[in-house]
Amino acid sequence: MPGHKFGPYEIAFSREDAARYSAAVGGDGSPDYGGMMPPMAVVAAGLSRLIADLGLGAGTVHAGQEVQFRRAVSVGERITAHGELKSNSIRGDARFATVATEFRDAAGHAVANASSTVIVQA
Amino acid sequence: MSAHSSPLPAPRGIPSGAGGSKVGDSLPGFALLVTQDRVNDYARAAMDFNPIHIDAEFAAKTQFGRRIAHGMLTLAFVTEMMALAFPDTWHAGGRLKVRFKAPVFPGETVTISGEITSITDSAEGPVAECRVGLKRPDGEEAVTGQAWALLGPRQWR
Repeated sequence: MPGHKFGPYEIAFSREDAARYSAAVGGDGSPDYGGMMPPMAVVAAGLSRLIADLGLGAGTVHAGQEVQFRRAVSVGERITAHGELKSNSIRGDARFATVATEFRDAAGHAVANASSTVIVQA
Repeated sequence: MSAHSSPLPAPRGIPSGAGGSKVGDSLPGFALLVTQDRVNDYARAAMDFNPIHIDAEFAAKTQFGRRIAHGMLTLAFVTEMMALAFPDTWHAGGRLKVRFKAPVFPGETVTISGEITSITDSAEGPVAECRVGLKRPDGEEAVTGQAWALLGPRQWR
C-alpha cells in the first residue's frame, strides 16, 4: 500500500567495501574520492535492501531513478536509509512500484534522496 | 576508466574554470566493456543479488532470455562521468533523473556520454543542466536522462 514505510536500513562501507565498489563501477581512470564514498554506492546499497523488502519477487528490473546528493559520505560513516512506497500499480502485464528513500547521517540530516521505479512482470 | 575501457575523443571547448563552461560542451565520456565478472563484483559490492543479474538459469526464463547488468551499475558509470566532470560539486548538490530504456547484457561495450544543455543561475551559483546517457554497441539508448551540477572552481580537462 502506498505510504508503507521501509527500514531504516543501516549502511556503512568499510575501506574494503569502498574499494570493492569502486573497482566494480570504474577503474584506473575513475575519480579520486579520497576518504569519501563514491556517492552512488550509498544509494545503491540502500536501494538493494529496500527493493528486496518490497517483496515483488525475483526478476524485478529498474525502470527509472532520481537521486540528489546533499553531501559527501565518509568511508565508514554510518548512514540510515528510510524508504516509503509512493505508488504500486499494475499496467498491462507488469507491476510498477515507486519508492522514495531518504539517506540520513547520525545527526538525522539528509545526505541523499532517491526515488526509484521498478517493474516486475505480473 | 579501466583496462576494459577507452576514452572518447576529448570534450569540445575544454573549460578552464566555472566561467569557462558553456552550453554544448561535451562531458568526459568513455566506453567500457561490461563483463559478467563486473556484474558479479557489483552484486557483491552493492549487495544486490537479484538472480536476473547473476543466475544464468533463472535469467534464461525471463523476458530477456539471459542475464542483464544491474540498472544501478549502468547508472554508476554515468555518475562516474559526472564526478569526473564536476569534481568539486557533484557529491554535494548533484542531481539526476534517468530512465532505463533497454537492458545491457554482459559482453557488451557501452558508451557513456553527456553534454551541457543549459546553464542557469541559482542561489548557490551557476548550475549546469546536462543530457546524460549510456548506449549499447548498436547505438540503442539504455540509460537516458538529465543531470544537474553546480559549476565549481574545477571542471574536467
